[in-house]
Amino acid sequence: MSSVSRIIAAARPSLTASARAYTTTAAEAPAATEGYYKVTQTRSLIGVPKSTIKVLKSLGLGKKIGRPVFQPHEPSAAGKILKVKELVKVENMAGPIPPEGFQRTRATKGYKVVGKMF
Amino acid sequence: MFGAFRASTVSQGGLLWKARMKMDLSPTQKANIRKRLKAADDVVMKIQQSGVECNALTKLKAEPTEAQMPAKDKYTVFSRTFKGYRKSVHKVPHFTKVAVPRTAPAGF
Repeated sequence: MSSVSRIIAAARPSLTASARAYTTTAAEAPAATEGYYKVTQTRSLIGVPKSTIKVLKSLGLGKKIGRPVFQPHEPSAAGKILKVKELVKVENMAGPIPPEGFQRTRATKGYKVVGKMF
Repeated sequence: MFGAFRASTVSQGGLLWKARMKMDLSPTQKANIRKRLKAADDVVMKIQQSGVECNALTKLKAEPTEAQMPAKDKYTVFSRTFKGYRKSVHKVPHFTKVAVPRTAPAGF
């Protein structure tokens, strides 16, 4: 059995850290930019292990699928996103995190509220 | 007849919801498995492109991407109890939302 597994292991192509198709070398890899991640939940939390749900909620997600959240370019945020990578999609954004957070674009109302009676 | 299940002697024999045990995946299921693997790869790639380094990223860089995985690793996982030591990935609970191992022990 051990000789068979050795032959099969030799035949299987060895995968090194640089084997990933999109890996950039150390020279090409960009330094941690002053940007942020735009993280969007794409799948529901039903059936997901509790440890993963906790991480997802600590990111600010878990409320609505498709509602994005901004996280800084930090190892802590990166590790959390990688823990929940099956449930989210990520985009890299440049510049500082907008202080008002994600603003949903809405159509302008045809009126303006001037005052309220109650 | 009974909802989505086709009528067979078993299903009409009294046990209403007894469906056959499927071990093979349909082309649609396989396509969706590949789509989900690529989506997870995309998340790892975006984190890599940001330039941030962390332990989780170091571990994930050693794993194969969807393009590098043989079909056997995409659609089956190692199981010590199944005949042949491999079982279909759809038998893993919540396999669409949980990180399924991409490599099996050497020789399996």
